[in-house]
Amino acid sequence: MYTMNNNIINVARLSIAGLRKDEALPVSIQFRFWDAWRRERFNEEIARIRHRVRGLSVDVVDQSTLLLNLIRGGVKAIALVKSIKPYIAKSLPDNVYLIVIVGKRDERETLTKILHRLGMRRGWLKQVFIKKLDEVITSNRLKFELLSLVYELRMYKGRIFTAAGTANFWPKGVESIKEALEEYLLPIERARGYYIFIKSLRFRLIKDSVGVGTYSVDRWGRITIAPRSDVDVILGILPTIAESILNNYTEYKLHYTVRVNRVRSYTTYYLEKASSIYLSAVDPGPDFFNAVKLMVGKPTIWNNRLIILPVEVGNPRLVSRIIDKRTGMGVTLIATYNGIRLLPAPGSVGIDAEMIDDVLAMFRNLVSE
Amino acid sequence: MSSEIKIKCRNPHEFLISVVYSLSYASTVRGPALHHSLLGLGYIFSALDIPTIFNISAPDFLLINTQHKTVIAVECKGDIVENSKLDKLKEKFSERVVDAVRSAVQDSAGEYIIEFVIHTFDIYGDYYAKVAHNINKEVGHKVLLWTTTAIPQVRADASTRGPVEYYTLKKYVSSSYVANHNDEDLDRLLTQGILISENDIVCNPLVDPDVSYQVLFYEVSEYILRAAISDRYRGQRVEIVKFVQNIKRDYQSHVKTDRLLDVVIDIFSIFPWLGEVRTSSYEILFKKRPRLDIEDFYNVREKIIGMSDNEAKRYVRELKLKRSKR
Repeated sequence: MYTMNNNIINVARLSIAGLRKDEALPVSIQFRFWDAWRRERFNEEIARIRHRVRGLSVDVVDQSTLLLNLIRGGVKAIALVKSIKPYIAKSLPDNVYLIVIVGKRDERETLTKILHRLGMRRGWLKQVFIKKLDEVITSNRLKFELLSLVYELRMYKGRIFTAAGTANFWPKGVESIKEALEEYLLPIERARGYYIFIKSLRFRLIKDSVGVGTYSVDRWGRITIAPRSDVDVILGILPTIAESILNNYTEYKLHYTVRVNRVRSYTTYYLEKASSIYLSAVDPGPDFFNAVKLMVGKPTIWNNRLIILPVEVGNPRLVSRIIDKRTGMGVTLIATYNGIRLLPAPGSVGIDAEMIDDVLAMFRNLVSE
Repeated sequence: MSSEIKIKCRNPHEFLISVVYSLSYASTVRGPALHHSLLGLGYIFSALDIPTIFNISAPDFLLINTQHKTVIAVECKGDIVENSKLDKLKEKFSERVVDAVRSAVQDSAGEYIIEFVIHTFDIYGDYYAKVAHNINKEVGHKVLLWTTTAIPQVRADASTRGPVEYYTLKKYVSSSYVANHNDEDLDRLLTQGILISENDIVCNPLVDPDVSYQVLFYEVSEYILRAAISDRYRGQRVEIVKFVQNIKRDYQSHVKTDRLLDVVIDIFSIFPWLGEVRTSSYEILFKKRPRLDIEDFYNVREKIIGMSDNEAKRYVRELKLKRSKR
């Protein structure tokens, strides 16, 4: 759908080379979205964060680059935040940032939380993409060896999502994700009506019979490079991951802008760039509608993450507000016999991809991906 | 409400506003293309908020096209107007409104074409054609008429694989009443009719300046709940007037600021776990860690929304008193 400029690989390569002084340190690479209104609050937020996180220093390199340094108990970690606007097509969103974090796991996690606090939101990969990630990798003449697979076993009572539990799976002698799923995991899905939702994959890559390193990719499109692993090899898939994340972001972006114009004492509010998402039902009809109604037709807190407040429960139309308990963002859900429409609730100018992913998880068995 | 009307929002007036409001939303996913967006023709849904002191009754909303330099001022009518209220309706199309609109779009040179529209249900088309005709004569402005079907039609749609309920927004034309829009594309589109499906209709009750107290309470309380748990407001001190301005911006609402201020104060008194209003400094102090009581929140709101305006006000007053004693 979009052409990704290959310069992005060079940017990532140079950034890693510049930040990683020791090959024994792991590196993670990710794309995040940073909305303008959150960027504007950067100074205020970072002052508050620095007050709480000891050992954190911030270096604003230029308008599009930031460096966050964390020193804790003599252990160092560094995060680079760089706008990739110059390296991608003009039609793509201009709030995309490349994040490179070098350091040990705990420090990397702390820096990740800081980025989240600053309002840098993650994108996500579709399950159909993750389940075929090895095919993307092996097309670059590499051999793929799956080491572990972290998955969420989502339980459905009939078609209704009831609960989920995370599990780890260490396959032996499995060369593809498809093989791992078909041999070991899909039978569970078929026999008990569970859904296997892959959260992350850890794998080894072999090039010309020589192991080049160990890597992991998670559902949020974060690539982690283990110590002493070849960086160039994995960077080959970076544009594909970026493209997939950007496509999802564009496809599932829910936002609206209100421009305010004040002249004399008159105020005009212009509703601009308002978007909605339509999810079509796999099996349209009353059964689909009743299943949606069971989930969002009464007030509840779903999975301790989403607050559900029904507004209008009728037949064949249902309107509910879904609020993210962590961020306060809200979407209006309109369900009919044929599908679900999602719109940003007033005041929620931009909805996180993470929240959309949560809402999609709720209706996984009911709507087409 | 007339039994001949089958609508999706709380009242016919809100529904008629919401039909056009919904046409300003574009779908980002390959879904059923059910409507031609007015946005596609460059018309942006806008609300004009004129302070009470000016004593100008603004139309319900404006559709502003900066490229074509056209403003369409739309007044929605969900029912027949009593004769005694016809003068009030005429004020909406007065020269003072034209001046206010020109000021709002900064059109001192008079480049903008300002058109007036009455938007009603198809069943009232003939009645409002006569009203529009009279206004044309008295005020001297051309008033066009748009109608939306009062009862949706059920149609099979290939893209959704099932029957879908549609409403049709059209320009009213009869042998005795013909008026055209200056923008030919818009005129053509509205003459053909714009189909809008039931799952496309987004109700925005706060665009209606005369929204009832209970609806105001219902909507604003949910807005405050979301604000209270958001990064932006959690644990923050916010000027109440600024907060109310944000509500107006986010809903494109020209509900009077005083009414909104009162409702905001009522909501914080009833749900103190969200935060508190410091009347001395006129600030809202949002809780650092709001303890969500969703069940109570939902029950109170549901009770209020089912009441009449006066009942709701009385109930809120009593509840405030009861909760302040705790």
